Amino acid sequence: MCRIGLVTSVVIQGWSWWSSSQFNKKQLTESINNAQNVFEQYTKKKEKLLTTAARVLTADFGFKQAVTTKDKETIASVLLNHGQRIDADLMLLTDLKGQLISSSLSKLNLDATQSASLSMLLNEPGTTHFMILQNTLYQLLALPVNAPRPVAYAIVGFEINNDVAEELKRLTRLDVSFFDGTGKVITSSINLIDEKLTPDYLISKTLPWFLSTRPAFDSRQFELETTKKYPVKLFLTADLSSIYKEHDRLLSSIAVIACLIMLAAIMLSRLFARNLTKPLSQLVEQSKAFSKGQYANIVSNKNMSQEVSSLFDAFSEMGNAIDAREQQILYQSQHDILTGLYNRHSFRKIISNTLIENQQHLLIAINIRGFSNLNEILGIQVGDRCLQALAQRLIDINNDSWQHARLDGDVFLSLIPLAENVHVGRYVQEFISDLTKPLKVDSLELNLKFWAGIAIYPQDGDDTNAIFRRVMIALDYAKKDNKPIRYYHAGEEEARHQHLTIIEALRLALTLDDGQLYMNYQPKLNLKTGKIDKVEALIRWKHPELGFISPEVFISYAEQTGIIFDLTAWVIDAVLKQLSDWQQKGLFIDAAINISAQDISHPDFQMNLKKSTIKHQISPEYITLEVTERDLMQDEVQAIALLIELKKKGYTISVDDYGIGQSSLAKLKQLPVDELKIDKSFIMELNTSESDQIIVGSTISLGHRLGLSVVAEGLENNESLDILKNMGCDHIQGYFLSRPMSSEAFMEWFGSYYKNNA
Amino acid sequence: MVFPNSDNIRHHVYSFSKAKTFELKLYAGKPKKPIEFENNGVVIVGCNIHDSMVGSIYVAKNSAMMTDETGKVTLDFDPMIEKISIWHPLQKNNPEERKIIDLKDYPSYDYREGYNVSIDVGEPASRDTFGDTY
Repeated sequence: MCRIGLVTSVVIQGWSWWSSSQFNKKQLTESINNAQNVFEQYTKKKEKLLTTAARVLTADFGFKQAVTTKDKETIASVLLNHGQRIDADLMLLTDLKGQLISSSLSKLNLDATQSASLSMLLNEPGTTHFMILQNTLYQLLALPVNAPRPVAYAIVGFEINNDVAEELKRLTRLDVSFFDGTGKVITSSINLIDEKLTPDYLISKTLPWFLSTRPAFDSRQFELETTKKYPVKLFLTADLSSIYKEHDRLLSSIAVIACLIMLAAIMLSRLFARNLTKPLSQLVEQSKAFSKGQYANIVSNKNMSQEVSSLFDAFSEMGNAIDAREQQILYQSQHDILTGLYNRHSFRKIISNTLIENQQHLLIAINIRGFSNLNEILGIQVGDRCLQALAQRLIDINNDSWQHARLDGDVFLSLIPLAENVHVGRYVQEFISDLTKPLKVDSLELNLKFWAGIAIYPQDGDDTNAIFRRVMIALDYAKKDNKPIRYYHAGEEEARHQHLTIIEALRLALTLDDGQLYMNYQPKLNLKTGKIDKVEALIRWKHPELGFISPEVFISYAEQTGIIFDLTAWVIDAVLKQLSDWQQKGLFIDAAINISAQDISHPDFQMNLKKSTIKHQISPEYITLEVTERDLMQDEVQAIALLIELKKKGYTISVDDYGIGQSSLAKLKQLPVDELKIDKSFIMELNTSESDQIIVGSTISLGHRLGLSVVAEGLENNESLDILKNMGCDHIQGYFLSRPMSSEAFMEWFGSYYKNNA
Repeated sequence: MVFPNSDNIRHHVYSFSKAKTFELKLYAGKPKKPIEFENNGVVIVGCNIHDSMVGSIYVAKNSAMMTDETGKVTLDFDPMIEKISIWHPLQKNNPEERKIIDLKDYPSYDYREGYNVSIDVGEPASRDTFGDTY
């Protein structure tokens, strides 16, 4: 604002100064031009006047008469007399050749140049010329004296003196100065007291002006119409001091105005600052604070105009609104929207902040049993309200120090601080019983049942992530083991972790095929023939770091994670290779391979099996596929179809662990099996257990009746062997016969068995 | 010479010529006395009140002859003639002067050719004295 005012006033000043000096210059030039015109006109008029007067004079008879007397004195007196008549300052008479005859000035001596000049005058009679005679400037005019023919020339001269200068000044309002050829002043309207008037003076005289000078005069000079021998310069001079005075006055008044404008601008800008710019910058500050998340308000003050004031108010409102929305968003990010409890993400932080070293805390994770059924039956809206009611119940139990979260779906987690000497079990029981009280949802009263997983801080873990994981593991096991309340057992997490490690190691072992996985073989004795004509192939795993890993463990892991297929494929390949190897050595023997339900359900199983048999050149007659009773009963249509096909191809299908699964005899008769393997639990104490004997006897009988052969697993002693023989069992397998051994060991055992039992 | 004024206005006849200076102040009719021209020479006569009235009287010493329109004049041969004066009323130089030619300067005279003499003549300046530019 101030700047605008300053710029404005500077511009006004500058422009007016420039424009007024331009104006003045123009004026001056006009003035001088006018003056020059005036002078020329004046001169012409004067000339005419003089010529007229002179002509009258020279036409005078008496004058003519006097001139022709040739009497010098008479002529001189007449010249004087008649000259006075017309106020001429000089009268000369020359002969027709220009030789001076007489003059009104006494003692006038013309030098050669003057005479020549005079002669030139006579060539232009009737026109005036300027000439200096005896230090005086005359305007001269030559006229013939006709008596009646030209007999002489009269020259009439008028002095250019101060009167003329003054007259010219009066007419032109400029100073008039006449200078001769040397620069000496002839006459001038300018009267200098201290200085000498010269052309140079007029041109270069300056007046002081601030820190420098400006010219005092502006002049125009002319050469007068003289004979060239006597140059006369005329200076028309304008005295600039008065112009300057006016100019300066104008400028100073403009300067005053400009200052006033500036002052006004300053005042206005102050006003604006107070009413506009300052509040605006305050608002800018506030919006910057907003972007940083600070929503504190600044108050408008009473000096502000209504508009600015309402702008301030709007800003405050905006700040408040943004703040509120931020709070809401924050809340939503931290809480579960449906129930108002914390959500998974923020609860971790809560746990982290709440767990302090010296105090025990309880974490209880609960899961509603059968919630998805409830949703299906009663509808999702009721389900949601149920969750809300449950959440409310949780809060109601104790709303001071307990904190709750809804993790996903129907899983809730509570963090409970425990006082000293509290009985945890009872605490938990009370909690669960409070929870399981009937829940009112809409008009319904629901009796919910829960699984609860429990972890205790700091026993079960001393940092947030560990305790969180473990309570979830506990909940997992609660569901798996179908226990309503299940505490975390120390080491479970590690076991799970180990679980993962083993699975990875197994994958790696399969890929590497470096011998850590290998097959052992347990012989089966054919009771009828007394020959060893079968072996069962059993997988063994010796991990380079983890050591010997039990097949029960890794096989069940493999089944859970689906790599059983690759494992079985590996086993099949290994066994068939072994069979091929033995056959080349002359040993032709049947091998039984354990297959899982997943294997026979897999679309590629048959093809892989075929590939292996072709690769190792083993025909299906030498291969028995053992599938557990439990797996067989899973009722997979595809699996059964596959078994039928395999059986057709010549494979022997064996039912493993028979008797302990939940088989139905109805199914059994439909399945394409060739052999039953009675589970070892019935065989191990056969000789001493009567019930076992009954079961085994009837099983053998049943099997035979269905056209199946029977194998008894787990033979421990000779008595049992005899019993089985009597019952007609087809094969036996067990430690009594031999433990499972490596292929080399088997070859050796086989050799010695034959030797011993030939 | 007599200067009778047959105009119905008066004239003021004058001359300031060296040969005869005279004046007949404003008169009408015939002046009482004739003017005697004692000397030879050229007398330029004018009227004081009528600027445009100018005349010339040639008073010959011995004899005078005028040329024809072509400027030619034939003189009788006279061995006594040494000089001839020639004058033209409109001659530019002094109107009272005569141009004198000395026959000695022309030794080889060819009578068929004659003497060739030239004089600068010119119209006199306008007498319209007060005209100019008003």
